[in-house]
Amino acid sequence: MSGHGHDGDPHLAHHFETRAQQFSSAKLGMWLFLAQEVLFFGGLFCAYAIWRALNPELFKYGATLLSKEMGALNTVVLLISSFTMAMAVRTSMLRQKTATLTYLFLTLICAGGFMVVKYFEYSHKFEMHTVMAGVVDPDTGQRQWLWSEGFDYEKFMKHDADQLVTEQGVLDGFYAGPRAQPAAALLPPEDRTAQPAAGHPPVGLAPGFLTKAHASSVRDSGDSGDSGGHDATHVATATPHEHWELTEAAEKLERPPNLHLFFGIYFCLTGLHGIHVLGGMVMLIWMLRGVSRGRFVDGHFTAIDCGGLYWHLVDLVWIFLFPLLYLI
Amino acid sequence: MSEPQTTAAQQGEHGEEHVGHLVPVKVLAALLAALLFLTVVTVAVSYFDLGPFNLAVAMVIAVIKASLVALFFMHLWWDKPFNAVLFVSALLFLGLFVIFCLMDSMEYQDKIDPNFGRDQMPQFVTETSG
Repeated sequence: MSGHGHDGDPHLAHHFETRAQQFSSAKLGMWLFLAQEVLFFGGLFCAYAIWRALNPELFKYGATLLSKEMGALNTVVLLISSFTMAMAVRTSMLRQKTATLTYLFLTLICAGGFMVVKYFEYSHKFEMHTVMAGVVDPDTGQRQWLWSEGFDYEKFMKHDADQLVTEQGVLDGFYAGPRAQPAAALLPPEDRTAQPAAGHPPVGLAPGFLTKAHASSVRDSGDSGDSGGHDATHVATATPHEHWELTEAAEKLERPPNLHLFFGIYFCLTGLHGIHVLGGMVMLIWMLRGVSRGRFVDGHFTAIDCGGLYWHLVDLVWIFLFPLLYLI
Repeated sequence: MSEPQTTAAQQGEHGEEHVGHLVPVKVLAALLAALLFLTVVTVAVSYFDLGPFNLAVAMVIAVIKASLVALFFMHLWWDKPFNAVLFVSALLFLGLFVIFCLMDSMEYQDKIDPNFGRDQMPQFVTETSG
């Protein structure tokens, strides 16, 4: 910094007139970044808004699979971390090294606690089979993740709905087709009668969801041989004007088959937020190292202040995420 | 509302001018208490079924909490107004974005053909010939 004016102040860059101007510029730059972050998360919030508008019953159902208590615990942890971060900014302004170290460390602990709670939530979701789609192979009893190596598409397509139902009676299967329709069970009765073209079942519902009503032809009764005493669960080809109904197994479903819509947006939103928390933890570790070497408590605390802004934004996003996903 | 702008601790050896502003601990602690209280309220309200008002109440409380965090934790109350203008305008543009997308998303439902591509779908079950 020598030879460019500003004799001797090591913390004033030569292209700034005063420390105050330098500080304001840094804050302005940070707020520009935060504006970008708002738009970054905003895209996912927009997806949430649209999907929720189109599938309100699905989102109400999905929220019941989340733990409000863990979400509330996460909210409390983040609020406390926001407080400790603000205290760290304050003590760094006051050039108090030990206090700053303490508050930064407490913020880091809270962030770690947040990720731990998140780990328990995610692993529970994984156990509930909402993360990966797959089916239980009836021959081996093994779960096959959809499209994984060795996934037998033809075999999957031929499975009875009964064979896709696990011990708990909840369907873990995945329904075919990217153009999903809402669960037939959630449609009003008059909409359930599909009129498939060329004898195919409606797009988006796995085999075993629908059956021909009042199956009376010889072909159908011959197919139900391996279903025991259940309703005909094979998807038989239907003539164009046949009437489709839900199979008994589909009626037993606790879970709408398009649940992945909710959990896709859940994992994207909370996952992106979790990545931001992890990034914030890296930042906090960097700050801790700096402060322990006396860097940010010598009058040049801008980095702590701007980092605090980032941390508060992470908290802000969670303040909106929590009610939207868990509470309503 | 705030402590004196400059304290002895902020005057460095070079007598540098004041930057930044100290927020009193009492203000920060009161903020935390208010935010925790609002969290309790919003969780408690969610246990009652108010129909469409669940979303409205949750969002109102979330906006109040977010405003408290933005104004006081993030220091906008004492900052240059331009920072607040930046942040609020980002939120406004986000709102515009969401509104346009929502308006558009319902537009084409009756134009969606449920039979699109059906003839290219694989046969689910091989029928016994008959």
